[in-house]
Amino acid sequence: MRPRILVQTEDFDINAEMQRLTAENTGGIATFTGIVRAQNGAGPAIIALTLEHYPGMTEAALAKIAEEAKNGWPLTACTIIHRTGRLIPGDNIVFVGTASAHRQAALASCAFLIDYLKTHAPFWKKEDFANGTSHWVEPA
Amino acid sequence: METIADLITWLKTRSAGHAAAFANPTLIRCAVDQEFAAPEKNITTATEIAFFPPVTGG
Repeated sequence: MRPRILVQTEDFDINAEMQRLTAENTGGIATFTGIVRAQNGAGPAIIALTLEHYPGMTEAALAKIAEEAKNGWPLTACTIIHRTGRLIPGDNIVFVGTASAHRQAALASCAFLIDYLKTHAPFWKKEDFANGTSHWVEPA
Repeated sequence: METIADLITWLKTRSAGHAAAFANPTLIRCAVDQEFAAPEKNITTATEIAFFPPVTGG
């Protein structure tokens, strides 16, 4: 099983990705889709989110993270898609999908991938606010 | 100079701007040849070293 890893400015089609994750011995598919929020907590309204990354390292880091998931769970398919560039509230940012014979492996590996990605892949987010200011997002 | 920590120590002496950029080591991540690396990582055979703030993807 070769993980599907994409870093792209274009949107992705969740239904098409679900189809791709369906392999012969799949019993379940878990997916996570990250979406641009219109507001962070009680902060000012967000008009855009700009994602920068470290080309070359990004793809390598995502491949390594997918490898960790493959080693930890019996997956039949695995997809990570991360968008970059300027996005607006409601836009898709990230897609993680895992397929396995049973639900537990799919759910656990999907949660692992999105959590691990947040700390181990070189992406940075900048928020542009409606009041004209902007700032780089601090890690949670 | 053998490690990332050695490189940071040297970079800090280059200018006030460099010193300010590296003032808080807990805010700096490093990658050697496009892999995350700790300050004690040996860089004598490295071809690409990157410093950046903590990542905020996902």
